[in-house]
Amino acid sequence: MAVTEAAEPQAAAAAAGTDADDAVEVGGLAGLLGSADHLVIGRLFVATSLLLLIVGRVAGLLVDVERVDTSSLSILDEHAGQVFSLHLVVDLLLFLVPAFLGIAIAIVPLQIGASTVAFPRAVAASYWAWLLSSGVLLAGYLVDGGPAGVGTDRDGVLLWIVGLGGALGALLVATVCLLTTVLTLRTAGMSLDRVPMFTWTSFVAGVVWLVSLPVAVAVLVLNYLDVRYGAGVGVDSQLWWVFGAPQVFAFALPALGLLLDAVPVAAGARLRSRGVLLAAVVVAGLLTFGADLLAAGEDPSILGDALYVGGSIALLLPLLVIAGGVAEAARRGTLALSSPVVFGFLSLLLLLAAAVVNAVRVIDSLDLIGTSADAAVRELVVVAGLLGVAGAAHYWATKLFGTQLKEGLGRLAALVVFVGGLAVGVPDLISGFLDQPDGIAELASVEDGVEALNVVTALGGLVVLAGVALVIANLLTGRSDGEVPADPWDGHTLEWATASPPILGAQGPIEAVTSATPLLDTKEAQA
Amino acid sequence: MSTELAVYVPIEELTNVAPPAPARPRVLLMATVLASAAVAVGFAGLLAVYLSRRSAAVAADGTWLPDGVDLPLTPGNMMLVGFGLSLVFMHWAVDAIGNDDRRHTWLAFGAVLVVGAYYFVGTGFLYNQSGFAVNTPEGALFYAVTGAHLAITGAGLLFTSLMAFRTLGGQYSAKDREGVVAATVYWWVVALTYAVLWYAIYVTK
Repeated sequence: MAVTEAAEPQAAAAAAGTDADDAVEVGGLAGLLGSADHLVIGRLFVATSLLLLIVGRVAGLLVDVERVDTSSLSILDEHAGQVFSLHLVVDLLLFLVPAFLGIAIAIVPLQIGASTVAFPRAVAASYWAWLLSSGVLLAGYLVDGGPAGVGTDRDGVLLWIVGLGGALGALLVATVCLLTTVLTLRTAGMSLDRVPMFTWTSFVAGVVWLVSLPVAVAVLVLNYLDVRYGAGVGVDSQLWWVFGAPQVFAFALPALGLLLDAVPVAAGARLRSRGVLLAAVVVAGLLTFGADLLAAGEDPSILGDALYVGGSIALLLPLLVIAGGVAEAARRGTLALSSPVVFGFLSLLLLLAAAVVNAVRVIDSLDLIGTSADAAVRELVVVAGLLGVAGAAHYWATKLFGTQLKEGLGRLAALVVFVGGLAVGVPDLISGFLDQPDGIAELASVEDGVEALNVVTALGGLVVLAGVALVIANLLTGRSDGEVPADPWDGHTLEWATASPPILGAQGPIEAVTSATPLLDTKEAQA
Repeated sequence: MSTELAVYVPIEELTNVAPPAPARPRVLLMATVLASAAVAVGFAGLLAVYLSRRSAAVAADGTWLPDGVDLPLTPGNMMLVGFGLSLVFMHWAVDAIGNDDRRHTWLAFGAVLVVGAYYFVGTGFLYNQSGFAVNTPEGALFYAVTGAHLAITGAGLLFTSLMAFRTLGGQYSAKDREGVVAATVYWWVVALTYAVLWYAIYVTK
């Protein structure tokens, strides 16, 4: 079957004249490498991105420690800029986007009643291409690369450009497959306004990624010509928007979907005003599009435009609408504080905090743009995204990994990550008022008190890292003994109508969807 | 007449023929539209940098093209006409497969491939004539934008060839012409992006 085909397993088996049950299963490494099972690929994306996150957080921690003494670059020396860029690239493009893509690739088909993802082989190819490209990107750093490098040998920089371009391309292929799945493979009766909220937020986020990240690839092409041939186009700063507000919010949007799916289930209540919430997610998506800021790296005055300022402040509104919708559902039912709910709520709090900081940051008279207030927004969003990823992994653990995770450890990990996130973000905002720049250049120009705040930021980074370790430990020690329940949370949507772990190609018992909560409808009809 | 004869018996049970497959969602077509959008956005990003650099250079020095560089319009015009023709050929392919006329479908696809090959030759000729050096900002931007369009066109030719082979293999017919339509959709993006490139680079220089 070519990568452009999307035949279901039964159909493919029938075409081949065999039963799907008779298909020979290949295990071990060959099975892993050759698998086009959306659950396997989703798991690989999640596991790999979590491991890479450790690299990104350690790099961030090194930067934080370096900033404790603002008089000189005593630890990282001339490589400080490279380590800083490693932190940004890994956190956002090697962790946040692929982790959410992995969860969506695994869960979205189950939520919409599809037997698999569209173009499963293309999805598998995108994972392996992303992994290879990530390796090339990291290798670029090892040979003195990164976005600029410090030596005269430019091979490391070229490796970095090729690696990042390849990783972005692979993520875009996976995004196309995910969006196609949502648009074409929904089961009977599931119109777009009836898809579960995680599917919806992943869809909206995917659209934003699809129409923004190709611009980053274009800039990388020019950057390659610059470095390879010494052309002097000078586009180094034109990647800035990928790692700044509002684009970073787009990378964390699916975290809202976890909350909007998990809270009604935990409260035993349906979401009211669902249409308003769907629209709020779309508005949030529109406001997070950042590729139009391509030139802002060279001309920061663009960030004073009314469109940018207004959009940055307006981003608070859809997030508040979503928070209101979730709170209303929680108030109407009896909310059980399960670990996914805790992860989801804390993620929303950090996203709201990031949106508030972002709205404050663009007030012209405060002169915060370009300061570590930018870092505060970015760090708060990344940690909010981390909480979303970890929460989703806990919520759908039975489907994703065929295990049940420990609730207590999950809640502890959520609290640790949240506290660490606040400890990273809040001091960065205050340091912004004290003129500390984003990054680690020109540190000597900061005012008194910044060094103490940077100590808190460094400790916060350490706490976040500890939280990541707790999340990974919970994933590694999940209970898989005995029978894993198909519906551990008494869920409302289609993924809970399948076995745990789901069987490739097997559909749940729901024949036709007539609302956004088909499983709840069935349960109520049977009660 | 016996009333038993009026009982409906599915034809599949009588003939042991498999029931017809359910209507296939337009997966390939939708993916093509999404991928085309991504391609168009990436191309727009490149062109945006080109235009902003040209605008800045013209504002500073009053000129963009370095001494000794020339951008003749004729090859660009010929390629534009070629892309216009190729769109007609693409729609001919869609129409022909809609009539189960495979011979003309292949003929139309073949004509598109010839135009695509001509585009590569024409661009090569233009590169030879223009005299841009890749180690200058103007040259790097010119080669980046036009080279990216060559890559977009190359992907379109591969896609068109794949769909042509699938048609050759009997996969597409009047009942299911999704792949042929998908190739046409992508080719529209190829042609439209070229039209933008033609105006932004070759005409306005």
